[in-house]
Amino acid sequence: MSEAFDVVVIGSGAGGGPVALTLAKAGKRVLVLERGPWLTEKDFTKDEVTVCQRSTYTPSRDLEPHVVEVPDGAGGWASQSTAGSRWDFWNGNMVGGATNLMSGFFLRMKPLDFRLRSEFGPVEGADVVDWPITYEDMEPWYELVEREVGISGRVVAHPRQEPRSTPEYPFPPLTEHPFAAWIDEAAPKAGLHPVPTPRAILSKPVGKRLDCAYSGYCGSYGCPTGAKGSSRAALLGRAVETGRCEVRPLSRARRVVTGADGRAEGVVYVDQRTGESHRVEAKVVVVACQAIETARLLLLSTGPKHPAGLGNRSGQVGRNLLFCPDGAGLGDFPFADLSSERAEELRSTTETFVHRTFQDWYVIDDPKLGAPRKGGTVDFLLPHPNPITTGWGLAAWDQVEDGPIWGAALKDRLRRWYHDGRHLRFEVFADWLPVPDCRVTLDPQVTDRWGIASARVRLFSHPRNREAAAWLAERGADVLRLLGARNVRTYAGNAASTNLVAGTCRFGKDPATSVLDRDCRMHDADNVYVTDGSFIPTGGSVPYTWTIYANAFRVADRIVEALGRGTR
Amino acid sequence: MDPTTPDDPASPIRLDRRALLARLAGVAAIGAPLSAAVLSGCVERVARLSAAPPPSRLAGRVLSREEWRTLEAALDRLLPSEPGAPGANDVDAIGYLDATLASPDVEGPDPARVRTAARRLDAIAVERGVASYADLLVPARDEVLLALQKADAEGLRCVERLLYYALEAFLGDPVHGGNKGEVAWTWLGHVPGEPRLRRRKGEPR
Repeated sequence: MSEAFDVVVIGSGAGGGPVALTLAKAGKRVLVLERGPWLTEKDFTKDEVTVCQRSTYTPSRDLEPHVVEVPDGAGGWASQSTAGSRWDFWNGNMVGGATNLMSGFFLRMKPLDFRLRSEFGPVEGADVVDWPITYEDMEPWYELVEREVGISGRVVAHPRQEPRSTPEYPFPPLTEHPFAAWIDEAAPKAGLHPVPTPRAILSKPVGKRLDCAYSGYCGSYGCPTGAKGSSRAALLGRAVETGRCEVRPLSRARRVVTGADGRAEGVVYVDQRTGESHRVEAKVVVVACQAIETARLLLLSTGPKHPAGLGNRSGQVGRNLLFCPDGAGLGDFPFADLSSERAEELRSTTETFVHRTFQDWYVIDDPKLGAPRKGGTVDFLLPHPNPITTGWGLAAWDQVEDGPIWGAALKDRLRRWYHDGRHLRFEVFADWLPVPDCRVTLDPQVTDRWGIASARVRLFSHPRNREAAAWLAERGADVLRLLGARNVRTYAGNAASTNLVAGTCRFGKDPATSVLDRDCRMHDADNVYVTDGSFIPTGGSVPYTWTIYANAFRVADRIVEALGRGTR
Repeated sequence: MDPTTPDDPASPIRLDRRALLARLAGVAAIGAPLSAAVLSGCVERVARLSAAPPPSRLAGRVLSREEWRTLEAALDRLLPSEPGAPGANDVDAIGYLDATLASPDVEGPDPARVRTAARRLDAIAVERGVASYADLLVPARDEVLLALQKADAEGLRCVERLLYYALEAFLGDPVHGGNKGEVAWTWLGHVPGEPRLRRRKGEPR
């Protein structure tokens, strides 16, 4: 006889953790299925080779490839398996998911992000829509995340500050690199508003979690102190402590099982250690496998009422896949250029966080680009300290045509990078415009090692994505020049950010054009919810994670309501 | 994308870093001996010693004796040893490359691609009248590497892969077998992140 739970949650990242904790605290019996292992703080190192250059936290793409399709330049599509390629759509397959590896730059979406269609009108070639909820609906849940996940920072008044129900973050800001004060001094003179970047990193210990150790190796790495607000460190441990939530690692969901009435009955999953299939029954199934794998699982979960995949009656599952446009920049601060005081400041500091964000350009009002349009965020930070990646970047930065720089010339670049000064970089966050044909389907040929169809990911970047990234990168470059940076270079491209993924199951009012209702409940199966970033219909110009966490808490509350409050 | 960020896997900096393993069965593993100078951590001395001709080697785990010799010579040109600055030879980049390509952690086509690099370097060397790339003098070695890089897409990819592994050997944690005595980190003043990896996967405690 199979086991029965009130709720089975598939995936344990930002979409799964809040649901598990909320439902368990409300007295419901919860099972979390996670395909990856259950690593803990003691398992995490800052070893670049293991963590950043091998598939240590993700499946082998030889064994579990995706198929990527990109425009072939002749009106068609060129496809290739990700096995042996530069593409990798897996992100942190372990308990807590990719939140273990995030940088944790946490910014809320703005009120206008919830109504882009009304604010700016339609965009040709894109399917821009308003959300079925408002910022005001989400605000209490953003605030809850500040406390539950732990966000440190400092609220300052600025023209794009979104409404807040509390005056301050619950945790004081982390300590900062001298570049932060330099920015605060220079930028206001140009009429700009540097904002301290909130982080999902504890500046004070809480419970079993220690505060930040300031090692400087944050993004891409697991946090060995528990300071980073991963779903695992911040939420799942507490969910398990209720005695009503079980997290089952190395358990890969195979399909959501639906009955003759179209409602979910349970989930079939595979124990990765034994290869055996198991079935668990559930009153409610929550899917939170990150956008691409969520779409794949739903498309694989056919049933009597779901012949084209669970919730796919209108053919919307997998569509409007979102990333973040690709823009960045970098400037050098040679010691020889600086006053002796400033040079010494840079030489002597061991601080790792710059933590300055600009949202002055959240709307682009530039006659060269026509009517006002959506802009975005520019976030300043130190270059990642990874030495191999740094060396490779110095070899390849401006040599993509003729090949990399090597030999004594490369070694000279390395020497100058480390010894002659310091560097400040920025990255751009802007909307990846939703395009229905930028989408996930099941590949007709390529399968994973178990013979299950791989996700086929069609990548299409609307021309405005690159325009926005390039425009914002120029603004970032302006800030670097205000600071006196040398050799300022910017980059904007059409690449898809495979670590910032959303869409594929947009929520909306109309079942013909959306997969989920305003509560992220499936239109076609009233006991199936999707709580990862898949629900997001338009991207917003900030990293997705805070919004995914907040929405998952919001939806979890609706699930408690649907199941009935109180312990059984 | 700024090539100094590792956060974007779509960035060209992460080209083909994983690869299908083509293990050579039945070949004895020969560890690459360390030079005493490297162990001493004395960079100046390392740089002088590394100008000596490469020691004769048997085959590696993935690389044949000929491939080993050719690639060792190529790695030396990609990251040359200089007075006051270590290079590929000082960190045993060739031993690192062979051991790494034999590791099950390396996915995708890299082992085959690296061996193709050796074959193509030797082919250009033969056109220049010597039997092996390693028989060329230093300036000619640079010319041949550049010629391979510019020859075609495969040639470019071969040189990229070699350079990539040279950088891993040079700038990775010594626990993986390169960067002996942290000579490259010491040269650059690089501070590694903590906690470090204390032993590789599968190694005894």
